[in-house]
This record gives sequence, structure tokens and C-alpha cells, in this order.
Amino acid sequence: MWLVMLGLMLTSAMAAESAEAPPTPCADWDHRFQQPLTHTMVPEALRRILAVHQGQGFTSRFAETKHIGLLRRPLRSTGQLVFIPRQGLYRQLNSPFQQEMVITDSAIYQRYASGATETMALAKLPAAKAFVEAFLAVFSGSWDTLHTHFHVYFAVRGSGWQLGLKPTHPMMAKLISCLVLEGEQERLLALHVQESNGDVTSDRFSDARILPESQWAAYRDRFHWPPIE
Amino acid sequence: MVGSKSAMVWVGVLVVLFTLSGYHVTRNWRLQTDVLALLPQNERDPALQSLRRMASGALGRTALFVVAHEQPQTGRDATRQLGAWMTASPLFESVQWDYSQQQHAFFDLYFPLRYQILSPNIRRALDMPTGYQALLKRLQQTLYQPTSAFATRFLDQDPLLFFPALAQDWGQPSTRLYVDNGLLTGRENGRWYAIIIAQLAFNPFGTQAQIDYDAQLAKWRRDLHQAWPDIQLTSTSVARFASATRQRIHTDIARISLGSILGVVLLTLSTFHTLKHLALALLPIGAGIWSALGITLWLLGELHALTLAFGASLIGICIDYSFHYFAHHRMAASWRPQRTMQRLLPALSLGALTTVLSYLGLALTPLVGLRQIAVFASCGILVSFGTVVLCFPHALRQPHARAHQPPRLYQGAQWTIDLWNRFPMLLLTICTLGIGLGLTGLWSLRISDSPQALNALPPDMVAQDQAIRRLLGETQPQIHLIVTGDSAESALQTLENLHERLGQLPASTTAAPIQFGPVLTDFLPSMKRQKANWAATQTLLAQRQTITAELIQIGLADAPIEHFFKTLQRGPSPFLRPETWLRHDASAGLRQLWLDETDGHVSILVPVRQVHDIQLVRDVIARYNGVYYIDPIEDFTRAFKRYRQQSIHLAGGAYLLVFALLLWRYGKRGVWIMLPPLLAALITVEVLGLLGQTFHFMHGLALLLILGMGVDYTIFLAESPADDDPTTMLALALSALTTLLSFGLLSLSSQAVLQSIGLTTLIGVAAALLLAPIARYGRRSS
Repeated sequence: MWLVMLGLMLTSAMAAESAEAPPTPCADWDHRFQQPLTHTMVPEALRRILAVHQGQGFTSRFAETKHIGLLRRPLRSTGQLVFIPRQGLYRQLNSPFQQEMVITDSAIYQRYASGATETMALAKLPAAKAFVEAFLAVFSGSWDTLHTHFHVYFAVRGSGWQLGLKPTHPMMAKLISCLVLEGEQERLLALHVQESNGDVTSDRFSDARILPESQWAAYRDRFHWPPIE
Repeated sequence: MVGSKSAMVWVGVLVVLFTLSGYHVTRNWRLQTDVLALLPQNERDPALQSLRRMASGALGRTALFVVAHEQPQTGRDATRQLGAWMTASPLFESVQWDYSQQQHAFFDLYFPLRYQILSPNIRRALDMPTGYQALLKRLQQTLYQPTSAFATRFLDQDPLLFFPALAQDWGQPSTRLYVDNGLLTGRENGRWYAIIIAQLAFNPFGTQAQIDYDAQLAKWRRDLHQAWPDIQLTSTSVARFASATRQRIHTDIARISLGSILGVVLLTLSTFHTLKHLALALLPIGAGIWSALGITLWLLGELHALTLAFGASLIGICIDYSFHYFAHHRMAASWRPQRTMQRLLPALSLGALTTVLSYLGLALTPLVGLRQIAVFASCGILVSFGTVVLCFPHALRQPHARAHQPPRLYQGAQWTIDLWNRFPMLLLTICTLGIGLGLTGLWSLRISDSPQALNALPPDMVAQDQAIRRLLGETQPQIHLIVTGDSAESALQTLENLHERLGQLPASTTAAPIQFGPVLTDFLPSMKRQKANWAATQTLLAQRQTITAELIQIGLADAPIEHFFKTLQRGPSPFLRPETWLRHDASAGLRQLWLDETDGHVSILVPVRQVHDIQLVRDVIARYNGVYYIDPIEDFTRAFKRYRQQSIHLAGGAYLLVFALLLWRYGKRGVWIMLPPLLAALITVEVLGLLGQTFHFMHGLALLLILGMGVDYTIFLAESPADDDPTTMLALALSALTTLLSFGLLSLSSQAVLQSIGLTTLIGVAAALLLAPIARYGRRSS
């Protein structure tokens, strides 16, 4: 009998001290978002946004800035994202190094420029599994899926909007304080994730477009990885 | 002449025996239900030794509980409630269900040791001259991942993320379980389940403890269903199996005893018609069994439940001597009690002797259980014999009131004798043809030494046990390795070397040759490994400048970098020792891997999940001293094969010895006397083959019993005058019927061991009775 050890990371006795104060997507939450939405309270604007994304794929270039409190400067990276329903999320990092990653609801696969691959089965990693499920829910466009994993908030800011998400899963909530998606009309412009230790990851999307099912086949090969043993 | 003085002496002996039995039964009664207790104590087979140690140690006391429900929250509530009850119960030494603090425990123990207990990937990198570059690259890649949150918490204390790498390795082995909300959980077929692992605080083979345990489990089950009606609670443990076995054996004992007694009562009353005969018939049975109980306890210290169940079948044998005397009393127009006994004595004595010798043959086997049966049966038979011979002539002084009215069974016996008198060649021809035709049974007889042929565990409990172990990911729970050493360090080093070597074996297209369960040295490396790991981390000091520059480039502040190198320079934390690990909360759930430590000799258990190439694995293991591949099925099969060969040699030797005795007493006529039991044994094996039975060593031993009883019948016919044939045949029929009833009931036992003895003896005794008249050709001519 042995245990999944990754869970202990959640109970680490160490408290990370921030070297500098990163951006805070969760700040002033109650002022920005009045109350969490329920099934009967979904605004029309959000319904339209979700309807455009539901059941559809998504592709975009991204520029990521990650503020880790222990680091003096943020980590910056660029790459491409491809989301295909039921296949998962494909993330290709182009700078500062080459890396491919596929996140599915059962595993995380990684491949480096050297050709080396790593696979992490999520069944044994409940924290990672919760994180991945929530992460994939963000792209699902499904209200039900979102509501399963998050308390959902929505606010309109001029021509733009913000979708605020706070995890419902206790294990996820220990890791992630909130997620905020920003967009204009039906376009997704940015995703901000604030971790419970104050670290913040911000992704800005460009050339984002919806992928209808007829176009999924072109991306299928990116999701072919060796099965988990 | 059997005088009254002899009878008085015998009564005195009985009083002593009864008193002795009463003392031992009341003071030393210990009914053993552990099947392993039947095995030879000095069995040197390392597999059987390890099984005995495992059964008597922590593994034997491990109990697994599964709480299942469709709704996770309901399941969690029920699991926590059950866990709390179990923790408060004196039935358990320890209960592991709340893993929420265990994660803290793992961190508390292993984080300070992060530079001594390394992930193999980290160690491999450190062993390379430019390995530090790989570590830095790994750090960078981790930081840029979306899931970096899992690692960044350790950056200030562990900038190269040694501890997250180690923790990730621990999470790698294939298991269906994970810790969720502090509980060890999983999902199957849409149902959520949680596992509770407990150590029993009692000997799983203790009868009263089993009863208390069963009652408590039943109560908890009821209480859980009351609060959560759809909750499902299943459990498995050695105690549960032992309790079920005990109850089944008790049922067997009751059934065999009552059935045999009822048979004796019915036969006695219907043939002899008086309560006096019934009371007398029960006297040697009671005296024999009660004395056998006391003597066995006195000589051997304990009684196995199987012995007791077998002993119940002795009822059908102890009555034999009574029936012979009663038969002559029943049919005697002119009754002379002493003279009749004098006439019967040679046959009774020789019959008792051969029966006792055949049982004593069981004592020559290495199996403790069979030795108990041998002592029990021999004592019972001798005491019954003595009671009949010395006491009955004084109890039946008057002739039978219905001596002139033969019972129906007598008419049947007479008919049988007449048949043999009129058509001897025909009957012999029929027998020969029958035996010839039955040879197909002999050719088709399957031989199996697998312990599964003797598996008597309730199928539903076995299925439940397998289902629970499947949930735990144990696909082949029986197979394991035992790694031993003269010291803890030596055993741990051997395991590390072996694990590494087996990990280097080439994989087939489908899988690695062997996949392990948790390996102890992943959590408790040897001192040598820990020191070598520490030494490997010291190589980073030589690259301090480069590493510092890279870490600064990544963005790490000076303080954590400084702290990192100071930690490396300061020296290692106290190395992890087995005694520390065993006492720490972090080892809960893994302690059973530390099998035992006696007189400095250490054994470590290594569970095996799957073996895809047994020969390759065995070839590797063979190069290591003190490493054993344990497959209980295979190992018991090897032991049982040895026992089977011994049992056949024993039976063969016994037949030869008895034949020699008969030749000594009867000369060449001894061949006729030996023929029926010999043919009965052959017929038995043929019939077993025709019935599709699988022959194993218990069948071989039962052939000894057929010899004993078969020769008993033939000696009586050879010793009695021709005129007495029908009376003798009546006695034999009565004896055989009770024996057939007892062994027939034994063949219905829940225990496969007793089933095989019962069925074999049933067939053999029936054949011996039918063929017994052949022995008349061995009679001395008058």
C-alpha cells in the first residue's frame, strides 16, 4: 500500500515569501463582481459568449507572463494553444525553449526539444486532476461544466467583459484563488490565474479563433501520444 | 478367558483415562483452526517459512475495509464514521483511514532528507559531469508549466526541486487509489469507494476473538445502513476466513457426529432390538473418543479442528468391535459370552492392530495435522477395542431374546454368502471384468499437487477478497519476493541492487518483465545509498558559481540560493534508520513491508504486481543470496508433490508390511486375505478417475485407511468357521454400514482435506466389503 505523494505538496509547511508584489486578479473581487451567478441568473452577454465556444475547438497564440513571488522577475514565454473538445488542450511553447504539452482529463503529456517525453497520469494526482478538469472547463464553453468546477462571476466593462471563476473543489481552491478571463464581444483576449500563494500567470491571446469540428482533423496528430501504462 | 479381574482393571484404566481427559479438556483445551498449523513445524522450504511468518506477523493481522457509495460525500461521511468507530475499538491495534495528516507526516520526515533520499532521475543527473545543467533545465521547464504551482512552493528551500521530483516518483506506481479529502479513495463502475486498512489486535485464529470480531462488524454494518441505507461495506482479513472455516468445521463436526450416532442407533435398534445393546454400543464409542481427546491434548498440546472433524467419523469404526460381538450374541441359540469372546479375540485383535497400524502410518507423514489424526484415531480405536473385549462378556450374560428370529440384515448377509458359495467363479469373473473396465478410470486419473485442489474457502468470501485486492491494484497478490539479510543494512542494500538489476531487464513488447508494488527502499534507502546520494549532491558545490548564475538568470533571489549551498556545506541531516522510519507516522500503510527482524536476521517483503517473464526474473534472483521468489501456489504445489510421493510410498510400504504379516500368520493363504483390500484400493483409484476427481496426497493417505479396514473384514472371514459366515458377514455389514455412513458424511465436509479422505475411504470400504468373501479361500481347512 502506498500513497499519492503529490497531495502533500498542498500541505507543505513552507510559506513562500513573495520577493515582489505581483498583479492581483483576485483583488477587489466583491467590488468588481457583485455575486456569483446561478443557473437562472446567467446574463445574456455571457450566454452568447458561451454559445459561441460551446462544443467548439479553440486555437490561439499566447504570450504568457508568470509572476512567481520567489523570482525577481516574471517569466515570459510565447507559444500556441489548441483546444479540441474531448481531446484536451495542446500547448506548444516556442520561447524561451521548445516544449509541447497535452493536457487531457486523464494525463499530462510533455515532450521536449530533445525528444524526451514525460507522462503524468492524473488518476494518482488528485490535485493535478482537479486543476486540469477546472482548466479544461474554462475552454469548454459549457455553463454546466463551469458551474461544476467554479463559482462563476461575470461583469461587463465597457466593450469588454470579465468572467471571474473561483474553484469549488477544495483541493483546487487550496492551489488557485481565482481565474479571470477577459474578452471583447465573443473574443477571448486574456486569462489571468492567481495562485493561493500570490503567484500570478497572465496569458494574452492573439489570433484567437474558434475551431469548428470540420477543422479538428488538421490538429489531431498533436494529440497522439503513447498510452499510459 | 476374559476374567472379571481384567474387566475391573480395565474399568480402572477407563476411570484414569476419563479423568485425564477431563483435566486436559478443561485446562488445556485449544482448538486450532489455522491451516498453516497443519504444516510441518520444521518445514525448511523458505516459501512455506515465509508464509508462516507473514501469516503470524503484521500481514496475517491486516484487515481491509472498503466503503462504497455512488455519492462521494455520503461515502466520505460513512468512511469517517466507521474509521472513528474502529479507532476507538480494542479489536484493532491500528487503523489507517485518515490520510490528511499523513501528507504532513511524509513532508515532516522526508523534506529534511531531500538531499539524502533522491529521486532516481535526480540521482542519475547528479552522477553525470554536466548533470547540474539537466537539473537547471528541468527547473526552468517546470517553472514554465501551467502546473508549476505544485513545485514553486518549494523554491526557497529546494531551488532545484529535489523533493517534488521524489514525491512525483512516489506517485508514479500504478495504483487506482489516491488521497482525496484525506481518504484513500478510488472509483469503479460509477461508485466511489474508500479504503480503511487496520491491524487486528488479536490472534486471527482465536475463537472467542473471532466471535467478538464478527459480532462487532455486523453491528457496524447495521449502524451504517441505518444512517446511510445504500452504503456498501465489504471487508477481508485472515480472521474472517479463519472464522468462516471454524464455523464450517463446527457444522461438519455436528453433522458427522449426529449422523453417525443416528446411524448407529438405527442400525443397533433395528438389528438387536434392545436399548441395552444401544447403551453398550455407545459405551466404547464414548470411551474411545473421550480418551482420544485427552490423550491427544496431553501428548500434542493442542487439537486442530480438522482432527476433531475427522474424529467424529471414528464413531463408525469404534462401533465395529461391538457389532462383531453383538452379531454373535444376536444369532447364538446357545450363548457363551466368554467363549465367544475368546473365539473372536484373534480376529478382533488382528483387525484392531491392522486398523491402528494403518492410522499410525499417517503419523509417519511430516504433516502435523495428520499426526494428530493418527494419535487421535489410534487411541480411540484401542480404547474401544479394550472396552468391548474386557467388558462386554460381563455385560451380555444372557442369550438374545430373539436369537431364533434372524434380522433382515442377516438374511441379506446369508444371501451374499450363498451367492459366493454358488457362483464363485462368476463373481470373480465379474469383479475381474469390472476392474478391467475400470482401468480407463486409472488412465484418466488426473494428478494435481496444487493447493487450490484443497481450497475450502467460501467462494463468495474469496471473490470479495479478490475484488478488494483488485481495487488496491493487487493483480497477483500471492506472488512476492522476500529479501533477507544478516542485518537491516545488508537486506536493504540487497533489495536496492536487485531492484536496480530487475529494472534493467529488457522489456518485452508489452511490458517490463516484472512490475512491483511499493518497494521499501524507495521510502527507506540503505545507509550506503543515502550516503552516496549525499555525496552526489556535494558535486554541485563544485559548480556553485555556474549554478548560482543560472538561478539568478532564472530570477531566483540570492537568499534561497545561498541557503541551498549552505545546506549542502553544512552536512547531511541524520540519516534515516529503519527504527526511526518504523516509528514515524509516514510509514503507516507501508510497515508490513518490513516483514520481521529476529536475531539480527531481517526479511523484507516486496509485493509483485505482475510477472511477464518468470524465468528471466528467476534467473536474476538466483544470483542473489537470501532472495526468494515466493509464489505460494507454486511453492505449496512443490511441497504437496513431495507429500504425495511420500504418501504413495507410505501406502505401498504399509500394504507390503501387512501382506508380510498375513503371510507370516496364514502362509500362502495370506494372498487370498490380502486380495480384497488390495483390489479395493485399485477399484478406489479407478472410481476416482471415472468420477473426474483430481488425485492428491490426501487420497494417497486414505488408501492406508482402506487397507486397515479392508484387512479387518478379510481377517474376520478368514478366522471364522464356515458355519459362522453369515453371522460374520452380518457383523461386517453392520460395521461397513456405519463406516460408510461416517465417511460418507465426511465426504460432504466443507473442508477439501476431509472430503477427499471421506470419499476415498467410502469407495474403498464399500469395495472391500463386497470383495471380502474372497478371503474365505484363505481359511484354514478344518
